[in-house]
Amino acid sequence: MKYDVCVIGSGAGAGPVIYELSKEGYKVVVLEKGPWFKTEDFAKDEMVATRRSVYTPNLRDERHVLVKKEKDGKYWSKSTYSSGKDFWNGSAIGGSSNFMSAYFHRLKPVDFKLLSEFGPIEGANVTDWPISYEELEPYYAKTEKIVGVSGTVSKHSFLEPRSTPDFPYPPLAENIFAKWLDKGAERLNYELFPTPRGIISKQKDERQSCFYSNYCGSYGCSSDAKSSSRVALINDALATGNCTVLPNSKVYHLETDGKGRIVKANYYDHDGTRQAIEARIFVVAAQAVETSRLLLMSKNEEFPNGLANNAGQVGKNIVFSGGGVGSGQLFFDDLSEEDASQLNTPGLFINRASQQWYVIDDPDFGPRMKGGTIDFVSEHANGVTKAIRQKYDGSGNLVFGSDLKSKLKAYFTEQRKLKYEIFVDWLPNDKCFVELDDEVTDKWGDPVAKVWLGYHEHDLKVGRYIAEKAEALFKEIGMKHVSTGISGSVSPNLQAGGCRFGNDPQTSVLDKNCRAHEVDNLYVTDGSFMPTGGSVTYTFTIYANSFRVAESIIASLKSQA
Amino acid sequence: MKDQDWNISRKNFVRTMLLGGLALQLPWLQSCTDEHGFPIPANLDPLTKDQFVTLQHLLLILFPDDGNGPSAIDIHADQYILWVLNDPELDPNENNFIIEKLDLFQEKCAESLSMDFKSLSIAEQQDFVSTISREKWGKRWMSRLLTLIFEALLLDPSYGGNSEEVGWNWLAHNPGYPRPHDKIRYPNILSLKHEV
Repeated sequence: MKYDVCVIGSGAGAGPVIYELSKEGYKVVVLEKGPWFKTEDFAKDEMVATRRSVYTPNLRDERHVLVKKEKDGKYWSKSTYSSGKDFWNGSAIGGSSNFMSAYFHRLKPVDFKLLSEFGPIEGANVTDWPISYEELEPYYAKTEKIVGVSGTVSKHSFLEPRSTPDFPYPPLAENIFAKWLDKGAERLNYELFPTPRGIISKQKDERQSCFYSNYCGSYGCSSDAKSSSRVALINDALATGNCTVLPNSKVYHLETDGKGRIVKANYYDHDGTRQAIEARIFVVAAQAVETSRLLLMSKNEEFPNGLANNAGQVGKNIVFSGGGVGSGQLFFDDLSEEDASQLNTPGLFINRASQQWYVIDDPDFGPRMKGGTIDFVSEHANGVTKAIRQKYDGSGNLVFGSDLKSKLKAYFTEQRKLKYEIFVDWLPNDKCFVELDDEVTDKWGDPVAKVWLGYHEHDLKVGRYIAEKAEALFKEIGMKHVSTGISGSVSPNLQAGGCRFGNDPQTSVLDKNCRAHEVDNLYVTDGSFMPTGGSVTYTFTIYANSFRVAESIIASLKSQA
Repeated sequence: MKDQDWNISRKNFVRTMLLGGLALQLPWLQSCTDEHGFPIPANLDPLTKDQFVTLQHLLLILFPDDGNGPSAIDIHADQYILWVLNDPELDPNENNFIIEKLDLFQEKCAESLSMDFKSLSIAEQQDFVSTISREKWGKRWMSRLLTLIFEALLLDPSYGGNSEEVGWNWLAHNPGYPRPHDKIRYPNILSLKHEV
C-alpha cells in the first residue's frame, strides 16, 4: 500500500501533522521507534520512570557519543554507554511529550528576529527566522485549544500579543508558596505571572482533569490531563480510521528516486526485520538529534553527504536550552504549623514565572541584549533521587551510617526545597552539531549520533544575570541555602536545530514551510527547524509550528490531486 | 558476555518474572538465618555465602539498625541487591564491579587487619568502611551500594524492599498513585505489547 503521508516519529512535532492529515481524509502511517504505552500502563513507579531504561532505549542497544567542552576549553568524546550519562528522552508512541513537565510559554516576537534586534555576536551563528511571530500566533492559539493549555493571562512587560483573551483551561491549583512568591515579588517590584501548562484543568472529551498526583515530569499521565501528542492528537487521528501507527519501527534510511523525491522509508520492525513503507510525502519528526542522524544516514548518489545535505547544513547549529537551576530551602520550624502544612501539601503546582528580563536593558550590565525566563518549580517528588543527593557532605566525602540516616530524615521531614529554572538562548555555534560517529554503532549496526555540545560563554553571562534576580526573590521571602548552578551543561530533553529553516538554501535545510529545499516531498516538523531556540522550553512552539506546517502539507497534497 | 547470550538471558529473565508474578519474592525465598540471625536466601547466585554475609554486614554499617528508622536488613536491601545482580537488563560491567570490589574489600580487610570484615567489632567495621570510603574505588563502590539501599528503601514494596512501606513511613514520603501492578512493573513492562 502507498500511503499519502509517512510520519517518522510521534511526539509533539509529529502529532499535529498526524491529526490534521488524518482528519482531512489522507492515509497516514506513523513509524515510531519506541513501544506503545497506553494510559493504563502508567503508574507512579519511580523504578520504571527514572531508575531503569523503560521509557528510553537501553544504552547497551542504542547510545550516543557526546563531545563536551571542558573548563580548559578542550573537547573530549565519550559514548553514553561508557559514561552512563543517558542522552535519550521518551521513546514511545507520543514521544517525550508523554513525560514532559509541560511548561508552555510562547516565544516572543523578538525571538523571531534576534539578529535584526541585537546584531551579531562573535562566535555565534545568530539569524532571523523566515517567519514572524504574527504568522505563528494562530497556531499557538490552536494548540492551546486542541492540545490543551491551562493558565490565565496576566499582563507583564513581555506578554506576547494574543488573538484570544485567555487560555481555554483555567489555571491549575497552586501551592501556598506561589502566594509567598507573589508577595516577595511585589516588594521587589518584580513581575511574576502564572505559568501556562500543557496540562488540562477540566475534562476534555475522554481526557480527565489533572488529579495532582505529585508525579508529573518523567512520568506518564494516568488521567490524560497532560497534553501529550499521544492522548491529545494521535488517539483522535486513530479514530478517523485513516491513521496507522506502527510502534517498535526504527527508520534507518530514506530512499530517493534519483529525481530528488523520497519513495520509501526503510525501517526495522519489532523483530529487526527490514521493511519499507511507500508514501507520497514523508515527514520526519524524530527529535532534533535523531532527525539529523537519519538524514545523514540516508546517503545515496544524489545526496552523497546525506539527504537534503548538499549544502552541508544538516546537523549544524543544534541548540539546547541555556541557563541552569537554583534552589533554596524553607524549614518547617521557621513556619507556623498551618503554613508548614500547606507548604508540604503534595501535588499542587508552584506555577510562577518571570519574563521581566526577557530582554535585558541594563547599561551597567552591557548593551541591550536578549535575556530569558525564570520558572519557579518544586523539587521533584522522586524519593530515591532526593535520597541520592544526601550521599555526600559539603566536602564531597561519602556519608554513611547513622549520620546518613539522620541527614535523610531531616531532609525528608523538616524542610521543603523549591527551585527556579533559568532559560536563556543557547547561542547556535560551530561547536554544537550532530554528525555520524565513525566507530560506535547501535544494535542494528548503524552509526550512532555524535553530538558536539559546545556552548557560548555569552549564555552563561546572561544566565548568571537572571539567576541573581531569582536568588534575590528567594532570599526576600526568607529562604535559606539559596544557590544557583549556571553552566554549559545540556538538558537532552530540550533540543532543537540541526535542520534550520530559512530562505537561503545555502544556509538552511528547510524552507519557511519546513519543506526541504532539496527534496520536494520531505518535511521536518520537530524542533529541528528552529534557527534559534528562544528562552523558553520548546514543546509549545514545536506543536504550534507542526500545526502550521500541516496546513502547508494539506495544500501541497490538494494541489497534487 | 556476548550480545547474543545477553539477549537470551534478558528474555529468560523477563519470562521468569512474568511467570513468577511478583518480581522479587519467588526467587529469593528465605531458607535459613546465619549465626548473626540475618536471613539467608536459598538462592545466593551470583554470590557465595561468604560474599553475601560480608555484604550484609557492610550494609548494616552503611545503613545501620540504630533506632532511627529501618536498617538495611529491615528493608531487605541485601536481597534487593541480589535481584539487581541477576538483572540482565543492567550493564553487566556495573554488576561485576559490585562483586569484584566486594572481593577487594574483603582482601583489603584481611591484609590490613588480618581478620574477616564480618568478624570485626562494629566500631572496627565502621573505621574500616570509613578508610575504604576515602579510596577512589571504595567511594564509587559504596556510593553504588548506597544508591541500591535507597532503591530498596523508597521504591514500591513490590520490588522486594521497603517492606510494609517502612521506608515511606519513616520519611513521610508520599509515593503517588496509581501504584504499579504486576503487568506494568519492571521488568514485565518491557515485554508489554498492545495490538496494532
